Amino acid sequence: MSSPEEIRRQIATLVGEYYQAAFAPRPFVPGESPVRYAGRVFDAEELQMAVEASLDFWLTAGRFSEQFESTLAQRMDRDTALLVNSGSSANLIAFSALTSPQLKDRRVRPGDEVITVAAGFPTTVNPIIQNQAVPVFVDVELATYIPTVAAIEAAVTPKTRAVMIAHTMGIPFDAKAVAELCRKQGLWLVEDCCDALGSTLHGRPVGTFGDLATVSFYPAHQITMGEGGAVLVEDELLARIARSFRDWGRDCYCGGGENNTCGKRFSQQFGTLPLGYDHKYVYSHIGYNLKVTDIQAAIGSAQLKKLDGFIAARRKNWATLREMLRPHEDRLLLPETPPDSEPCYFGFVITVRPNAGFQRNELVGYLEAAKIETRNLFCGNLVRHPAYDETKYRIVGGLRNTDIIMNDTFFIGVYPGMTGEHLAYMGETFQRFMKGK
Amino acid sequence: MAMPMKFSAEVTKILRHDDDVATYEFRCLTPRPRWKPGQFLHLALDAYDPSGHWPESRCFTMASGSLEKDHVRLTIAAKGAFTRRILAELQLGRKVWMKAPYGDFIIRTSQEHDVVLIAGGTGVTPFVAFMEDALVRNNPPLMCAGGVGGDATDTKGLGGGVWLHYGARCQDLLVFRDFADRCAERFPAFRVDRYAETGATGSTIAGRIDLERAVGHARDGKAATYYLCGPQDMIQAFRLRLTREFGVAESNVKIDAWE
Repeated sequence: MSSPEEIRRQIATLVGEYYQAAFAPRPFVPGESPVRYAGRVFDAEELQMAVEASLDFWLTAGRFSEQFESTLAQRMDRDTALLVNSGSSANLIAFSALTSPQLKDRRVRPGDEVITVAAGFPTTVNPIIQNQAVPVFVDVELATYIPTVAAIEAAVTPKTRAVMIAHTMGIPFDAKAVAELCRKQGLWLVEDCCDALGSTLHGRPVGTFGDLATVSFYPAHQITMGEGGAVLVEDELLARIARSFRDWGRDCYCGGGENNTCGKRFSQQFGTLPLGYDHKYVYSHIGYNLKVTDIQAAIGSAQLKKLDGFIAARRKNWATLREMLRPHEDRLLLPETPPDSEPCYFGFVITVRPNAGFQRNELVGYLEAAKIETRNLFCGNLVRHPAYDETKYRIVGGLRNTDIIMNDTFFIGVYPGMTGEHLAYMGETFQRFMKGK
Repeated sequence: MAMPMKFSAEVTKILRHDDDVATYEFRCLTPRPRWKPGQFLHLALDAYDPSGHWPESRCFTMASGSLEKDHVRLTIAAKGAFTRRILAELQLGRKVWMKAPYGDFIIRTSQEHDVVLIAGGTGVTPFVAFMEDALVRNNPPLMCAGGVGGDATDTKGLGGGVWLHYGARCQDLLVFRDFADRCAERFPAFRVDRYAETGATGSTIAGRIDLERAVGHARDGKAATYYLCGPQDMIQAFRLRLTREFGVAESNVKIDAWE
């Protein structure tokens, strides 16, 4: 009988063959083959890693999670990267961490204000509401779809405790200046980098300016593990609090299958518990269980190796589309890159100008009929959604551009799975539409 | 804490201090994590399969800084069956598994107040990591209050002073006295008092660590932060005296007490 190691090798070889047979590239047929706005890009290694982790049958976070967290933390120049089961969960953990009593007088309490934007994805804002803080919305700029530092500064009041904003569509807001503002005002800064893994500002990765940052590994994002995300943090105390919120709220930081990592499992005093109550079951926060499986982390580890190539492809595709659509700038507001930034674009964002002679939905309908996928810029204006009817919030300076985004903006893909044929077809399709208008 | 990770290492040097105490140097065979002075690792002797459960292990504070990336130093004293097994089995070339970093006994200096490090015997190890990092980068780490939970890191220089009170049963068991002396020579704000119960020579003070002297030497001893590491009896006795006799706030007395 073969050894387990030999059987593993045989399985890996077979999985490689399966990949070649099942996922061979298909020819692109213009008008018939879909041009996705996003999608997972992988090779045999992702499948082999998923199977490898399955054969371990460790299931919960294990060696692959440890490897992924360590590599990601190093890549992002942070001490800690905590894997969670989605970018939205990462946002929930990051913000909830700020409510910890362990932060003493700096903790965010119910009724405190948090500056954010309404033109984005809801789960950047939802953790603020879920923790009974009050979102304060500021408007964003068109073409970059991020707020100015001045808009954020104008929203600061004595009740403000934090700023939590996304680098929407991979475009960095001026996190350096906002971090400086937060430092001066004693505010927390959470950078939502769920769209922006790989983007840099002043040569530094986004996510390294604030107190906490989050990333997402949903298939539409820069790398994927199916469902997944991470909280990035440098500070020891915040890292420990975030881990606690992720792991049921417990005080203990043992990994799965571990015991007495702290070396004082049965000798500590917590609250009014008896002295030496088992540390594994001591809870310091009202937490969640938002961990990943090792199978997800194994896939993510293979993806992380490809990140540089993915970033380059996204930038190249974005630049190609930008050039192709330049002749239509009189009718389409094309995206801009903020100074000192190198975005890793999530998509190519277009706003139909007021004098274009057509509405957004006409163009979107034309593209969709031509099998070119489009998406709105997420929720457009969050406060106009029914979910937020009964939510307490404040708006500072109006949301004029946010409403324009809701009505006139959409995006198309730049993801690494797109080929020159896809891009050329997209350019031709835009050209045909414009000619007819 | 920084990301704990498992890594393998090989014993490259052994220094026996007596029958019950030895210092081991390891070369890491797989990437190891960063740590902060005062943090600890778990050392396992038995084979470890990364796809399986972590074997039996014990906690040891790193007696080495984090800046030399493939190096780990541990000083191990026989205290129970497992540590005796370590002393008996760890030979040159032996490969072991470790996981780190853990713990919040992190030495933080301050602009405003002095820091007093009190080390009994092998309890000096967290302070060795602190000293080694300072010597390697020729700059004592200043981890001053003002950041998150008072944890912001700054490397501009040492504001408040650091006193090390380092005691052992005999002069020969002051195994890291050279580190301490070099630090004191290099950094004017770092000062050392050495104590030996027997065989004290030179500037080493005969007898046990003198807590009254330690408090008295610190600039505003009541406001200083005290880091205590060593035998449990010593830690608990000093902790009580610092808070009750000398009026030091409980929060300014830091200990790391494993079971």
